[in-house]
Amino acid sequence: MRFLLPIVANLLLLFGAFGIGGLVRPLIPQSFSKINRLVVIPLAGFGLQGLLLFLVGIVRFSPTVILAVLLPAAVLGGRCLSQEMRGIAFNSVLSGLPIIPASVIALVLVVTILGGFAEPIGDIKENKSDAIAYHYLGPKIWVREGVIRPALEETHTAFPATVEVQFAALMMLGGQCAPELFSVTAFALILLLAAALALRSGLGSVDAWWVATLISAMPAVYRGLYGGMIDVIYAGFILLAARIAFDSELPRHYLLVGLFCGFAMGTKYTGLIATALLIVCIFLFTPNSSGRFSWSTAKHLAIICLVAAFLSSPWYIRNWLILGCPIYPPTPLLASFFHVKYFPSDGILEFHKEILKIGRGMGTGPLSLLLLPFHLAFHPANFENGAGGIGLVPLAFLPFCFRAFQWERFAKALGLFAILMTIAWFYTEQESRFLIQVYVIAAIFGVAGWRYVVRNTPRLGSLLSALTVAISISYGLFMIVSARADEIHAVVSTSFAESRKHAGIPFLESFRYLNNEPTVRKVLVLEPFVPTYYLDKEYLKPIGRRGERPLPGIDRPQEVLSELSKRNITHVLDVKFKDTGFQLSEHPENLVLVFETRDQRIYRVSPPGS
Amino acid sequence: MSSEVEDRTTTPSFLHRLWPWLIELWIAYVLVAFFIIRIIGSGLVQRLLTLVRLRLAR
Repeated sequence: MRFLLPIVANLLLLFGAFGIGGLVRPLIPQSFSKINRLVVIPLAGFGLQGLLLFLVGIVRFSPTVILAVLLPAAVLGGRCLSQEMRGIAFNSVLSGLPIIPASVIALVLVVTILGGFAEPIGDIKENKSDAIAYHYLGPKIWVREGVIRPALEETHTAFPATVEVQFAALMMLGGQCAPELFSVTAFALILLLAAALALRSGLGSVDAWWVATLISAMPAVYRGLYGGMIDVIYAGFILLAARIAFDSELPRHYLLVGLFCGFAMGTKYTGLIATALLIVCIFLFTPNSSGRFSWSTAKHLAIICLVAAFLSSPWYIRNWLILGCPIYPPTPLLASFFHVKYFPSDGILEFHKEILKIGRGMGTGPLSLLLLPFHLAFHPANFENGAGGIGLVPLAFLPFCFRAFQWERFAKALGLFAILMTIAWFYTEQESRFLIQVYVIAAIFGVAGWRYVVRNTPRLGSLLSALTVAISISYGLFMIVSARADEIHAVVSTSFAESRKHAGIPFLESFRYLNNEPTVRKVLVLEPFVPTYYLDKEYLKPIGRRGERPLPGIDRPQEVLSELSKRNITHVLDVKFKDTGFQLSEHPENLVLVFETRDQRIYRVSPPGS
Repeated sequence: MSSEVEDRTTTPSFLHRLWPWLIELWIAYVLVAFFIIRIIGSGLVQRLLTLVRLRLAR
């Protein structure tokens, strides 16, 4: 059951995505090949499924509701998949399989599958684990409370959450590990999409395999698809929007572009920037526009904007109504226009200082921009979540891709889109995983450059190229496998899994006590940095880790102690970190110490007179 | 006149001959830089080199 439930849950979600995504089939351009359709349908499905679950979940997010959405969708998905798979000559695909690329992809796939069964482990202090801090925390709370709403003590649960809503469905159906296994789906989809883009850019089928191989061995891309990260799915939405946009001719094609832009905006706030940049590229490069303003161009761009705004609006309107600002936590500029609730202004400023610090990369000056390709290749760890980098292929071969292509309109548009996104990323937040869509494009152009080098330098150049590719892949594989070694070890060894939990989960003993003790109904968590993801019971955290104030008028956790009965609190969790003491004195009033171990104390609330 | 014709024909062929060398030089540079920065400059190799240096100093 430990393995079966996550697999069944993920299959149900995937089939559901095919079912709901099948609705967009009439919008797909006729010129799209099978591989393109097999990417467009499930990714559109994940976007629509996330939106549908969110809209339903605002009212009620119970197991019945989730199954009522997923089961019919999965039945439709089975039908859609069988129709789409018809006519694919698997024999010819398998007979032309290049052995090295297929082996590399298979290795990373096996690592992803095995690692996908590991329990999520991590700490929220010093931003060590975004998954535990919010990607998985929100879904866990939504499933427990039966409704989707932001957890007020953790601002990041108010982010648009098209993917996280589906994590919640996976958690409900397949347990805590099921969202981790979703990485397998994300991995397969990004490779299919990369291959489809490579073929459309003019590369051959063997080259498309190499593109997929290089991407699968890029640790910076891989980081965006496991451990609760949603960046690869986000990159998929953006890349598909671009893929369709640069070949669009009819209004219904632009409607599909708008759908994917809307999904991107409903997945990450950066989708707003990417959509704006895509519109610039469409204006310059679509067949109908060619850089000249016409009413038909304006109509097509308006379709994209309206559809994208309509599909993403539920997230932004929800935030505006509940939290006071459509983008929450707000930018400093927005904070001056909107009355933001539950997050004091000094907290907002601190948050933005932190973003600037995390996202400064290797500088923001013009020289750093010029040296960016070198920095990304040789110093990837200086970019947050970038350790391992993207290999040497983009740096070594991109300069020659300019001579490799005939540079037809599609490749030009894709190249410009990548450049604009890189510049926007450079001047906003230089976090490596936010650039995954550009890494995919860089791999495509890199392989084109590689082919050019092999053609024009037959002897030494071919040897050096082969060495470059071999080193990129070997180094990437080493980084990926070593990053996931502990998780894989934990899957195959229960004793190691237990020691990993002890090493990785802060205050594990307290969580075990609170989760197993039947008298515990609602817990007051005094310390902001306690990772409440591990708490299975309802809880109240009066101060968030970024200074959030979910209880208006309460500025210190101790102030809640006078209202314990009123708030139905049954237990209080008090912990201390190395640099702080306990929040409560030795013998607090009306509280009985029921559990104590190193740096952890749990009190049972004892009403006065009892 | 004849020297002009000669110039016109030799210049492109010289660039043509140089271009593959430039490509190879660039890729070789990327590989060497990778080895110096990522392998020799890595924490593990640096620690090993320090150990060797300490041994030799004794």
